[in-house]
Amino acid sequence: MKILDNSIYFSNYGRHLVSRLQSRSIFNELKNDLDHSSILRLNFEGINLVTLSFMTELFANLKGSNIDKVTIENANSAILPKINFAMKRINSKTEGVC
Amino acid sequence: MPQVVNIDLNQSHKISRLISVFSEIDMAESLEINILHRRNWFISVHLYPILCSIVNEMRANNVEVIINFETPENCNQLRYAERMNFLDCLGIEYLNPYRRHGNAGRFIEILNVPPRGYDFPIDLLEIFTNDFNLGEAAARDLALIMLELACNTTMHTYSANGSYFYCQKYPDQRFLDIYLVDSGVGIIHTMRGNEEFFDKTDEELLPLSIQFEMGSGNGQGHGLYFVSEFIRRNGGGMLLVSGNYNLQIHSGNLTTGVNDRYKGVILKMRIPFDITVTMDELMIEKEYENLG
Repeated sequence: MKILDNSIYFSNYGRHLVSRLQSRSIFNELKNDLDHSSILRLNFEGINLVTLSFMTELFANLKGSNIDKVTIENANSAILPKINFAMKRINSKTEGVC
Repeated sequence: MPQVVNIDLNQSHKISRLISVFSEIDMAESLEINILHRRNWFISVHLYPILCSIVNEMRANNVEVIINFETPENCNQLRYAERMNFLDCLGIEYLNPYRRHGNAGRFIEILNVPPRGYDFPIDLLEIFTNDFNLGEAAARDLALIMLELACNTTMHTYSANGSYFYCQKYPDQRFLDIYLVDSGVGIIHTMRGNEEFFDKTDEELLPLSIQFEMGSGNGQGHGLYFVSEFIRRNGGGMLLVSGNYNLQIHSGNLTTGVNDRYKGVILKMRIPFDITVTMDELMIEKEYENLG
């Protein structure tokens, strides 16, 4: 299941999260199933690599859809800095806080 | 009558010389390429991804490209070229075909990174870690760099054929040479998509492309910044060619230059095995810089 209890399980899309196109595709696939009133959980279990391109595209799309409450789950120490950096950069360009 | 160019593989062509040969070519018109070499003389490998990109971009746009290439038997240089996937990429049959089994060794064969793809065609992290035996931090950061660059090519090149990647390891000198080449629209054209740059000259736009959060607007402007900064801070080298201009990083310094026109992007990177500044550290530095 790609989304459950307002959680996105990225392992359903492979071990590497790379391209802006992929990020856009995932967001478009799931956006209508997201509960805007609850915290969105981004689950990175099993993910080995993420690019800044993928993450900034994702966070920009989430902000654009007024989804401003997000938590990061099960991101290993190799990918968490990239995720945090992307989140902070997108937040610095828009109002609101993830 | 097709356009005709002659390429001598054995003259240690500087990239600039190869660019000059193709700078006058109309990529919408049929082309005949005479590839020359003296048997068993050394071939400069940087020619391969550039030739593959130009030829296959034209073919992907249904332009006829005829390649005349003498391929004698038992030629060590051509066997090596075949191992690198060069001949196959150009659609040339070799009399003594050689197929590698597995990626272990000192190079990653020339491969096409398709346009509009979601991921790199091979698992670079695994190759850099297990086959190239790089340290964990270096393997991870190098894989990340290539994935960011590949993402750039899928988003910005508008290339029919994508880009070409090639990697050569030099274990004694302890560095990698990595090439990523496309024959798309080029960086200048992409940067002009950002209205903020309407008053910038072409010469000004290429250096802007590697500055933090200076991009086309169709992205965040992080990829080329962190790639170039990673190379610069780790004592590596970089040559970025697009249009009539180029950027070079050498010994920690950035310089700009002029060249004959290359339509797409040629990126050559020389990256040491031993990384002293990681991507995470660069990002932390940037966070503190922006807080201040």
